[in-house]
Amino acid sequence: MKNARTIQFVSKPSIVSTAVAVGPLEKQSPFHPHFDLIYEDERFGQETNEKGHAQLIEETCRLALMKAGLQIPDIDLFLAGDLVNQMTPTNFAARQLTTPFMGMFSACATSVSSLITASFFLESNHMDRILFGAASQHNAVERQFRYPIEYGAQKPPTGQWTVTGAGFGILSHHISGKPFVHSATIGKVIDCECIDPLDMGSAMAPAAFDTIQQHLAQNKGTSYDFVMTGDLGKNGYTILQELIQSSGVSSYLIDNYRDAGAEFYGKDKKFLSGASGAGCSASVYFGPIYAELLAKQWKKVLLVATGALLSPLSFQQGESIPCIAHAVELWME
Amino acid sequence: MDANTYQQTVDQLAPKRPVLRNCFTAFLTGGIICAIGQLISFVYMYFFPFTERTASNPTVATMIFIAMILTGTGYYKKIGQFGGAGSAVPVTGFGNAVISAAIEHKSEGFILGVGANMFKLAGAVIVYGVFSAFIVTLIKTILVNIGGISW
Amino acid sequence: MKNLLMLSIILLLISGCSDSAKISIYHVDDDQEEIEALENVLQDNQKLSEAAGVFFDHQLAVSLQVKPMSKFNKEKIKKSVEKEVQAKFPNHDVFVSSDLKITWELMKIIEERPIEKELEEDLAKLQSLAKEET
Repeated sequence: MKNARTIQFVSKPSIVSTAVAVGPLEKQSPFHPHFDLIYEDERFGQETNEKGHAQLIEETCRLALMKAGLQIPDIDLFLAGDLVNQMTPTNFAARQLTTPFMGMFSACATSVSSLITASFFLESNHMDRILFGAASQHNAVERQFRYPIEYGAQKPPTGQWTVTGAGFGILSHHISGKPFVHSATIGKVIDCECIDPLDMGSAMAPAAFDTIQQHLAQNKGTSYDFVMTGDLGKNGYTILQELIQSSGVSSYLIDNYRDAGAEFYGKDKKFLSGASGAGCSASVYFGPIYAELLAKQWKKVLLVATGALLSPLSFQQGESIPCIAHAVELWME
Repeated sequence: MDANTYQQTVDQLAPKRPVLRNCFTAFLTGGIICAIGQLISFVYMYFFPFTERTASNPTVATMIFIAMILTGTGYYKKIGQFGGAGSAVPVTGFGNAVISAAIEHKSEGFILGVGANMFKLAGAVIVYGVFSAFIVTLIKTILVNIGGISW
Repeated sequence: MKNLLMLSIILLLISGCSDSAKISIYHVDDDQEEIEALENVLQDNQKLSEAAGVFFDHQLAVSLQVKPMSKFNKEKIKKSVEKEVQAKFPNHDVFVSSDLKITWELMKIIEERPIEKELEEDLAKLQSLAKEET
């Protein structure tokens, strides 16, 4: 084993453009100025939620291409995923896009795992441009993992709200003036025997902690503008902060630690612990964070997307929730 | 990381369900739903030839109809988040469970979607309702036949 | 002051509970003796909150409402009242009900004081209503 969990990309692959589209509820997000498309219809004009989900992915991909001034034949590979069974929305969107396609699944960490994989393809110089990203649609995901949408079940304060949103980007060889992928850490599956599917933050925090610890150990001395986890929510945020503090990994990290899920819906109590879903980290990382990197507001950020690897079947059978976190370090020069 | 020590950290830090507050809101919500039901049954008794005993059937039907409207317009899940058990235990909660599943699975067609999945959540209530009725009747019959009690 | 408040609350509760039943009786032939006899039976029962009775051609319809705390024993109270009334009026066809609907209907009859023929129809309707199962 080469102990290559943390990889530095020497060729510095750059993200040339990104696009983010969200549903109607996400309009109230404090990040909304950086969302390219805000739909009024949560089904995006389609007759079912799943079709709407596919439509959301396709539209966002086309927008990312347009923003980069590219055509579909310019894309060598499309790497993406979502949370619906067998990832049909992404597969169907890929059918429309007609690009070479590989489905990725790391639950809510797909945004970063697809970016890491794309970076490898570019690093090995086999490809020129790769379309990557992830998406989720609230109704389609919620009906699969929990109850019917209109069922009046009471969620505990640790519950999270699946985002309707998609974030996609195009990765190419190094171009100066664009944010680039400096390094990445591939996560391990960590299971701390959490069993409550309505408390994903607690389940995912140890995975995020493990990945952050590993990444920082390999990049000693680097100072980040901030470290941002994907969708731990307000509850997971508190727990991860406690884990970092008690382990003493790095004290400067605590002030600069953020969580996309906890910030996504602002302070609205209706969303309980905050946002979750593959679209949560994707729309925040490739929307506001990318825009701020581009504007040189930040120089170095560590993005840690977290995913809970459960299925409705597994937790009903009493299995605990294994979790994963992938980290990617974006730089802007 | 040790799972046990981690669970302790989680127990310390994770926000608890506000049990007392939930009990109160459940009491309030359940009480209001039942008061509305009582009012409707009075209406049926006063204006129609229903007695206290027979008025319960049209009352239940009306309550489920109201629950259907509230579910379809998206208000019942808000009531559910506020009221918890208070909105789940009355017959309106049963109606909500059936109707929400029916709405959800309409996209798969009327037979394999609505028909097959309508009682996905409420089916458990029916199964164990019938089962516990059977057990209770069994106990009653045995006790009466032994002669311990009269019914 | 506190004791006084407690005392007044207890007194209020007791007086509220021991309120004697509201009784209204209608007799087609206005036989005061029979009215009084029925009134005594109903008045003696401490568990009743409201009662109504209608005499008509050897028929007697009685409805009763019990006090909130006695609601669990409603059927038992109804049966005991039925027995008492039947003993008091052996040559009457007695019909007793604890249903709220029957009380309302009897009150309506008492207020309207209808003639014999209408009354006969009304009472027949009531009895068939009370027999309906769920």
